[in-house]
Amino acid sequence: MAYYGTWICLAVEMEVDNVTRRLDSIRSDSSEELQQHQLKLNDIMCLLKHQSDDDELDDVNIENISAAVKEAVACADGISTQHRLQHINVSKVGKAIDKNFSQVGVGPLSEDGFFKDEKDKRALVEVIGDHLLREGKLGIGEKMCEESGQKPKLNTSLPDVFLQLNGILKALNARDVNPALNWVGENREALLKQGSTLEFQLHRLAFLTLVKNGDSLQADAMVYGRANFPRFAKLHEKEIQGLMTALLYFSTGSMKSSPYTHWFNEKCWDDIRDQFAREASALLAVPIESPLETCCSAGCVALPILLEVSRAMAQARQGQSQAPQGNTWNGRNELPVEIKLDKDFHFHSIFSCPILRQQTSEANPPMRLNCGHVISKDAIQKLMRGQRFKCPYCTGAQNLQEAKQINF
Amino acid sequence: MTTISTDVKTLEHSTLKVPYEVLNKRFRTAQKILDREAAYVAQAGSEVEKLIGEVPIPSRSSMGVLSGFGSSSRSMDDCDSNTEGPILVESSINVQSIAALLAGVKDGSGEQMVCDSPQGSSVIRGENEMEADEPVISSNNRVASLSKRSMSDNGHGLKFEHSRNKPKVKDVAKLLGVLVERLGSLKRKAGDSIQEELDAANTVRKRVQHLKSYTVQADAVQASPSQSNVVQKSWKRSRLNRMLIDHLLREGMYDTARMLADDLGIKELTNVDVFWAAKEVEESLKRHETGRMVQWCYENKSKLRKIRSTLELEIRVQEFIELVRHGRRNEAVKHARKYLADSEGEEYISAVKKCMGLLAFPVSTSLSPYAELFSPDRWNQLIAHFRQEHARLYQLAPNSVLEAVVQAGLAALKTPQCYRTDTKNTNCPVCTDPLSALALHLPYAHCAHSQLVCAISGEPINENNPPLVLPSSFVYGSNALQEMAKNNSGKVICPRSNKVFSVTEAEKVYVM
Repeated sequence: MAYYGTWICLAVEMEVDNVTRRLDSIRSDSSEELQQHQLKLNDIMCLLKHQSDDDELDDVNIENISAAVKEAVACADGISTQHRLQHINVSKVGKAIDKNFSQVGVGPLSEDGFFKDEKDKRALVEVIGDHLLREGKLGIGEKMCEESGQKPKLNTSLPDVFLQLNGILKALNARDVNPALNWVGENREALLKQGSTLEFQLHRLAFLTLVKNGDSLQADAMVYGRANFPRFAKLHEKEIQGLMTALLYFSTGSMKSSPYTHWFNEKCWDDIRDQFAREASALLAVPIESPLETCCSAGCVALPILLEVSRAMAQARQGQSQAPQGNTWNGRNELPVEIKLDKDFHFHSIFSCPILRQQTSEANPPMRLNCGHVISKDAIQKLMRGQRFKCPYCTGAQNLQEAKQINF
Repeated sequence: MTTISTDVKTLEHSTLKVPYEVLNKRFRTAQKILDREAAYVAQAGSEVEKLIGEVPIPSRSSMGVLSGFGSSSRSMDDCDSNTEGPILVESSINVQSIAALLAGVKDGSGEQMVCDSPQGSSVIRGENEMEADEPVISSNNRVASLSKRSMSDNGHGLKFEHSRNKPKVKDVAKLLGVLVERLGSLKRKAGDSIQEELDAANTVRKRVQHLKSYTVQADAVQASPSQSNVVQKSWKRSRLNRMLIDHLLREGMYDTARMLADDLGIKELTNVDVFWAAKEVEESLKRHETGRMVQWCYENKSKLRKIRSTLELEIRVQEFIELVRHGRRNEAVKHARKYLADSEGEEYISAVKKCMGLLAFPVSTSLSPYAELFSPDRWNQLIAHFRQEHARLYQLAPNSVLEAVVQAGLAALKTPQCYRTDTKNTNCPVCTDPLSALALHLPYAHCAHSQLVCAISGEPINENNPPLVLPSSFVYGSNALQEMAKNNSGKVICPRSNKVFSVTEAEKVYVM
């Protein structure tokens, strides 16, 4: 069963198909018909050639010619008429688009669009520039600086870093661990401080790739293992044993039934790629994902909801006689609805007071009551009866001094 | 149910609407060409007929000739209200030819006969039910008007009847040759222009299918969330790139947009080609040339009129200013007479008045508004105005989709912590410059429910990882604190205050 999104696409596609079908048939029919009329008139002209130039046309010929001419002219006119009738079908495509897809008006967050400001425009260009550099599209980034007439305020070493990281990730995609191993070797100490096991995992992958590529490389695999694994004996002894045992299974050709199949899964490469990206970005203190991409992913979820809400609010406002003014939606400088995002988008601890249904802030911090429940300071003020108040969850009475501010 | 797919509904309007506008424009161009070519054919046909004289009995095809003249003179606007399908037209031609026949025989009583003839209208009604929901009455009207037209045309045609001597073979052959040529030209041009339309329709189809590939996937994931979303991920990346390209185009960074589209191989999913014409216009304006812009205005005349654009007036005014600037005042007046005189409406008149006032002032004047008119900055304003009208022409929103999405995304991610040095997170877009500057004026995300992340491990704090507060007042997940205590003989270090506590000092916190 098609859901809404598919349905709106199908609605447009249907109209496009209709137009294409009809135009196509007009094209082939008209070409054929015109061809016939041309042939017919050519035949007549051939017949006329047999008569001498200054002869007069006889009645039979006149009638034939007249009929042929009239038919040809009617055919030509028919083509233009047929085509004109497609106007309705063409415009149906446009109507289907307008009906099923909505225009993004001015951003729902401001009446005039914040990014009209020159400074904001420049900042956005900068963000895009950073993104392009991250993607390794140096030339395109330079072109953008040229066209926007704007020198990027970039950390000059950053492009190189991303270029290198991109190269490594690309190599991992192409099943080559060497660039990654080089990089890990250069940053060994810092990585170990982070508790990273990346280097061992990369070596493991290199070893397993040798094993997998058949008997001829078995000796190479052994040499590789002897050269690289001893260093990791302290932390990974068990795994090293396993790896060498895997060699055994592979040469007997019974790898599929061995306990080590998971190591030969192609997904290992994706995992190590992700892990590399994560650890490298932690080490370099640069974001794992492009900030622009993260932001846009969140925006693609948020925008439809916000547009829907702002439309509903505009309608509600029309009903009221007194229209509240300003860009902020509820006077709290906060979006009017909660946008539920994936946990990948949770970057900060947010404590929302369960009493006031409102995020806490520096002025209104979360307070731990002596019973362990946490509510906001403003909520306590609201609950105060004289010097004391009761916890709304366990009704334990206490005074303000007993509640302690906490930080998440 | 709609949460996954509404992003397509909300974000992709211009992805489809712009190529549709191209299709629509090509349709109109094709219609003009076909009308013109059909008129040439009809003209060539009538030349032949004139030469060989009228045939005694008007036949079905003679009607065709006449209606050919009639319909080619009809404008496209008529066509808007004309909703019958091809079948209906066939039928109306049939009735029409009967009318023509009757008109020929009974000399003028034909119209009456057709409208009253039960047979005639039943033909229409029958065909009509097959085709569409067009009310019967209007198609009858159409028949009436058509038969009226054919009658008058017929009356005109009858004038030839008793003309002259038999024509000569060579003259007839020559005219027939012209007719065959015209037919060939029609055939060729119809083929070409319809192909152009089909190409444009194909662009729309390709894009709609690209969107569909995502929605189908989204539906599948929605139906069984265990499905992998690798395809979706790459689709979303491509969407980001499409939005980027669209934004670059909207901001006039045409070459960058094109390079990116070529690099990613997604040019046909973007509007790069459409904006290429805009690039040419803007570049000519930057060189202080008006020709390309005038041409563009001409090419899009009807659309510009529909959106009540003043662009053409602006560019004509600029031409006038340039003439004055170069001391060619007489030519300027001629120019104004030709292009500015027939402007209507209050704002046009005042613009024209200002222009004419310009004649009285030297180029070096500092008097407003004449100094502004002479200012070279007016060219930049023209570029900005053009960009705006170009977007309006293709029914693009005033902002690029990227801008709207970035705004929404920043607001959805924005927390008060993003602006405190001790709680920044490198991976949070709002915490990092330059996005943080952009987010400054935006509202914060609304969080009705607490959403806690352990500052040590980055894991979510929830019932599987309940929160504990240290005497330093900082809260962490119990998993991370227990792990740390295990390796550290019961001691934990609060990373935010750098104080050491015994894990037993940690107290439970209940977050509702």
